[in-house]
Amino acid sequence: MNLPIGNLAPPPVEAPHPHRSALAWFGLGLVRGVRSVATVMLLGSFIGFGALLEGVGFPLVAGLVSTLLIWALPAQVILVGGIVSGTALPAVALAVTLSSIRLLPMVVSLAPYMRGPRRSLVSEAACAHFVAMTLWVEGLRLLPKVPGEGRVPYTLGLGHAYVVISGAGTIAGYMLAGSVPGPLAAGLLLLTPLSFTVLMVRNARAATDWLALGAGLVLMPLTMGLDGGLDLMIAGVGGGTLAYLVGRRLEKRR
Amino acid sequence: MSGLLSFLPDLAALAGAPATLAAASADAAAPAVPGAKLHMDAWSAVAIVILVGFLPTEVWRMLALIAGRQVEEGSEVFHWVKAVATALLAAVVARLVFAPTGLIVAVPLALRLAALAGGVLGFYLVRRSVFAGVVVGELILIAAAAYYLP
Repeated sequence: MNLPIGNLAPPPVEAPHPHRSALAWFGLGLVRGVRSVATVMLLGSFIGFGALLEGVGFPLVAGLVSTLLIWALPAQVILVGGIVSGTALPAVALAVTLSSIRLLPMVVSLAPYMRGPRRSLVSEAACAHFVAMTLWVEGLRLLPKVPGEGRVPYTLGLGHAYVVISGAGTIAGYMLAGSVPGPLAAGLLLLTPLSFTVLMVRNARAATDWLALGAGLVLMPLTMGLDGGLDLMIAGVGGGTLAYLVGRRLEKRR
Repeated sequence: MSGLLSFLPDLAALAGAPATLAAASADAAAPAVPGAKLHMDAWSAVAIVILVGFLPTEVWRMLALIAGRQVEEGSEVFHWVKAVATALLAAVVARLVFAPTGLIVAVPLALRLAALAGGVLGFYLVRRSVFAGVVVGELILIAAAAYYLP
């Protein structure tokens, strides 16, 4: 067979990636979830949560259920803190609701990557359940590389890995409570903001990403005195919108 | 995490509950407050976790799913929502560093920020390794905490 001039051979008709079963994609997601920095971060952060449970005498089973079902650490801390302080339960529910609003833009912006070739509300809902800061930040990077038919099982694999690791951290923290030296305990508290900062820096590509990252970081300390979660609204919704308006203009100019 | 708690005392006051304990007991790193131990049977606690914690959280995920069903990758709405989510996450991170709770308070703000900056620098210097960045940042903070904590 003659070689085409200039190496212009047509690309193969078959897709370049081998076909994998849903189970194989689930397994890949699971392994990817365990073998990542997120593991260290989740273990550390949920050890802190487990220690909190022990410290205030909250039943471990209920704390573990909160990790498995709520799967959003800020909401869990607010919940446990509220119950322990004897706050009226509707007020606790309201506080949890307010803190979880941030999940909405996360799910909306990750949803296009958590769909199979055939749309199914059930599988999309299952994927959405696992969306929290960790799956959002890792999913934005990993999921676009996964072909359509693998996205749902891959997301579920990642999610299960994260939740199981977090559950293990919750139990370990409950057992270890009080025996962690002070500086190390302080280090555990930095783990969440530090890892998310580095993960977001790694993910930032377009001008909008950098502007949104900067806007959130800068606007938050400026608006922190405001009550009732208004600071998060201004820094998040205001800062993000501003970043979008300026960033998209910059990106289109190129 | 517990930075988000700053508005809980207000709500607690509204509900006529003691506000002081809310801040103290929800502090992820604080040692147990003497006498603050909760006496609650495990299964009522599980029920409360589901009703007061799980449902209020899950409702946003499911609403987002319905709201976002028509949103396509790369559309303008997609870019806007992604920017808002990024800024929100950055704001949560900033609050944890600028207004932290727990033992980390003992470390001055400048050093907490230095730990973050060290983490980003470590990431860039060691072949864009997230792990290296986290290790560098943690070392800075743990060293500072060892100096400032009694």
